[in-house]
Amino acid sequence: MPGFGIRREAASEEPPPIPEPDGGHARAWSPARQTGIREALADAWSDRTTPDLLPFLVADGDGFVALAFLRFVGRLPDPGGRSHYLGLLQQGRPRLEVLAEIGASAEAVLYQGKPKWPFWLDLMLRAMRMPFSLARRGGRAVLRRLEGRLARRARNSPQGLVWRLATAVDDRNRIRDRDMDAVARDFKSHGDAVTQRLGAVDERLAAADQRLAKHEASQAAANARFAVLERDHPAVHANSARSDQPPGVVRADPDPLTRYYLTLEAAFRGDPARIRQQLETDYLALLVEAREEIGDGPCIDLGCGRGEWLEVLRENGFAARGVDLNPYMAADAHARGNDVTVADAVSFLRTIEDDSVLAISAFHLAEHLEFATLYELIGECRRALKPGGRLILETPNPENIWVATHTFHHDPSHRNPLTPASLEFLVNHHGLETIAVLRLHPYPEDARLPGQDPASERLNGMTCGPQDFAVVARKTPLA
Amino acid sequence: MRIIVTASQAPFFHGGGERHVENLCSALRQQGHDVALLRMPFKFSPAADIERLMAFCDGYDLAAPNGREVDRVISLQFPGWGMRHPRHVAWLMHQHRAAYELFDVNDATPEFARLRERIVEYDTRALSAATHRFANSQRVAARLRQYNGLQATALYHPPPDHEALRCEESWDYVFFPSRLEGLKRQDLLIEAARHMRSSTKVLIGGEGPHHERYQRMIERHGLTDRVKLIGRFSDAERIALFGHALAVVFPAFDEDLGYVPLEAMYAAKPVVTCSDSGGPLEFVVHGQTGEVVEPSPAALAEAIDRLAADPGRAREMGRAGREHILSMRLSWQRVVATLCA
Repeated sequence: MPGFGIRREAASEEPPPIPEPDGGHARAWSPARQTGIREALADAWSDRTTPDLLPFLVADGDGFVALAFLRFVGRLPDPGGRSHYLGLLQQGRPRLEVLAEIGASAEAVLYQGKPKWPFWLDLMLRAMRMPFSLARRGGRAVLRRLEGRLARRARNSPQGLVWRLATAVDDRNRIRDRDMDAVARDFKSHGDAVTQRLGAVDERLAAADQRLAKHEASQAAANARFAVLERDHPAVHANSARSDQPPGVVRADPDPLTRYYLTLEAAFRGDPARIRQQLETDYLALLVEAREEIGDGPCIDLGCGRGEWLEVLRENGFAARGVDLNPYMAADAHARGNDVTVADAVSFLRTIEDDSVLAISAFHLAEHLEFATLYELIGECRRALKPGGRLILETPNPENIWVATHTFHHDPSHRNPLTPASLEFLVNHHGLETIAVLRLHPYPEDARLPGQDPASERLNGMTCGPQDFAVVARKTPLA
Repeated sequence: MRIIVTASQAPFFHGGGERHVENLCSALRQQGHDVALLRMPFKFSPAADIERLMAFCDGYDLAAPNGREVDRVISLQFPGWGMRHPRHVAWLMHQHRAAYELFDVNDATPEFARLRERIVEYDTRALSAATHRFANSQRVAARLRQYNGLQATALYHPPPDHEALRCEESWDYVFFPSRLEGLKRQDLLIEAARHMRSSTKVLIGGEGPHHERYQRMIERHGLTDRVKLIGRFSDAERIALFGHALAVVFPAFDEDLGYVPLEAMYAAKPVVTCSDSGGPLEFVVHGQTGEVVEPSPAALAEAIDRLAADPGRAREMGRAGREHILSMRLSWQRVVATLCA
C-alpha cells in the first residue's frame, strides 16, 4: 500500500458534512440523532489521548468507519474513503489495524498529532509492519481473536448495551412506521382539541375587537379635549404645523401629564401680552443699565416658556436665547421667532462659555427645582456671566401668606417656596452681589381690607402684599 | 357533557402526574366531552400557602361559572376536590402525600403538623361529599381508608403509549426508568450491583435531583462497568430499552400506582419490585410475573441473579405478565365511561 493516506476520491461529489464544533467530534459520531442516551455515551467516550477502543469494537462496519474518521480526522468519511475501509474490513482485516492505519494518516497526524496506542496494540502493529508476510498474517490472526474477545466484552458493557439499544432504534423501520401511526393517532385525537382552540381564538379576537373599540372611543374623547386645548393654546398647534422645529421637539402627541400641565398653565397663567408688559416694566431698565455698564452681550432666559421676555429683549436690541424643558412651550416660543433650546437649564448653561453672558434671567423657575439643582444652577450662572453681568431670579413670595399657603400650590410641579432672604443668601454664596431684592405684584388695592388701623395694616401686609419677589444680582466686576 | 377537570400543578415539574392529567383530558375529549382543565398552582412549602390554596378551593362553586352550566367535575388531586359541584367525582391520583404516609411526626415543623390535621379534616370533609370516589390504585384507596375512613374504588388506567411496547431478544441487563430521586430508591439497585454474582448490567433511565449523588455512588463503589445512568431517552429508545431488558426493576417506596411495572408487563418482561413498593404489588405476582423481595440490596441482587441464571424462566414470567396485564383490559375508554357514568 503506498503510504498511509486517507483515501479521498479526486472529485468527491459533495463536501462531507462538518462535525458540530461544540460537542467535539466524539459527540458527532451519532450524526443522525441527538438523544439522552447518545449524549450520555458521548460523555463517556469523549476524546482522550489514548483512544478508548470500546466504541470502535461495538459499532457496525459503517459506524466504525464514521467513528474512526470523526475521532482521528474530525470529519465524516467521504464516499471513497468509506468504501475503501469497509472493503478492508470485509477482507477480514482486524478493526484495530484499520483504526491504526486511519490514525496514522497524514491528515490525522496533522489534525491531532500521532495517536498513542495501548502498548500491547503498539507492539502488535509494529510486528505486523515487519517485512514478512508470515508475521503479518500471524499478527492479524492474534489480533482478530483478541479483538473478538474485547468486542464481546464491550458489547455487553453498559456503554455497549446502550449503544446497541440506540442503534437498534435506528435500524428498525417498523418502529418509525409505528411512530407514524402514533402521529396519525395524535392528529385524530387532537382534531377536536384544535377545533376547540380555534373557538378560543375566535373568542379572544372578539374580546380584542371590543377593547379596540373602547380604546378608539377614549382616543376620540382625548382628541376632543386636545382640540379645546389647541384653541386656547396655539403653541401645540404651532408645534405640529411648523417644520423648522427647534431641536428635541418631535413629539406630536403629548403624554397625559404634559397635556394636563399645558392646560393648567393656560388656565392659571395670565394673558401673554400682559405678562410681556409686566416683565418689561419690572426688568427692562435693569438690563439697559447693565449694557451701558459693561457693554453688549447675549442674554439668556432660563425656563423661557412661551418666550415673552425673549421678545421684550429682542425688541430692545438684545441678543436673546431661551431654554425650556417643555417642548410645547419651546415650540411656541420658537414659532414666534425666538432662539430656543429644549433642555434643562443646568445642562444648557454648561454649553455656554465662561464670562460670556450679559444677563441671565429665570422667572418662576427656582421654585420648580430641587435644591441641589438650584445650587448647581446658580454656580453655572456665575461662571457664564461676564464680570458685572446680571442675574435675575423671580419666584413666588412666601411673605404673602396667601401665596405661601395657597396660590403657590396651584402648580403641582412647584417644590418649595423660597424666601427672599434664603435666595439672596444662596446667590451671594456663589459670589454674586445683590443689586436689589424686589417685591413685586401686590394684590390690587380693592382687595385690601379697608381701614388704616394696625390690625388691618398687618393683615393687609400679610395677605395683600407682593406676590412675587426677585433677587437681582451681578457678578463682581473686574476691579 | 361539559366537564371540568381539576388538578394541581407544581410549576416546571414534569412527571407522570402531569402526563396523567393531560391523558385524562384528551381521553375525555376523544369521547366527545367538552373539557376545561383547572390547575391549582401548588407549592410544597410554606405551609401558609398550602393553607391559602386549600381555603381558596374550599367551597368554590363550579356549578355554573359565568352562567355556563357544568355537568360534572372530576378532581384528581388535593385540594381541587374541595370545590363545590353537585356532581363532583373524585379520582384520586394521590393525596398530599407529605401530610399522610410520608408524614413523620419527628421531622415535621409544628406549623406543618397543625396544617396536616387541617388537611386530613379538609380531605375527609370534601371527599365524603363527593358523588363518587375512585382511586388510581388499591394502594391509594387503602390510604384513604386508613387515614380518612372513606371507601374508594380502584380505577386503573393504562400507561402512556403502551401499545408500542413489545418484547425483543433479551440482552444482559436490567432496566429501571424513573425520576432520580430518593423515593424511587435507585440507590437500592446501585448497591445491589455490588452483590450480584451474574454479569448482568444495570441501566438506570431518567433525570432528577439525585443524579449527582447516584453517579458518585456508582464511582465510589467502582461500578462503572456494571451500572450506568443513561439520562433521558426518546420514545423509540424507550421501546428498545424495555424490549431488550432481561427484567425491569422497580424498587420505589410506596408508589401510588407506578407505570413502570405496567410498561414492563406490556413488554413481556418480568418485574422485580419490593414488598413495600405499594401500587406495583397489585400487578406483580411473586414467582409468576416477577419477584417481590425485601427492600434490601442483597435481596434485589439475588432476585436479579436468579433471573439471569435462568433466562427461560425470566421469559416465561414476562409472558405471564403480558397475559395478565392484557386480561385486565386497561383502557381509557373504560375509565371515561366509569367517571362519566
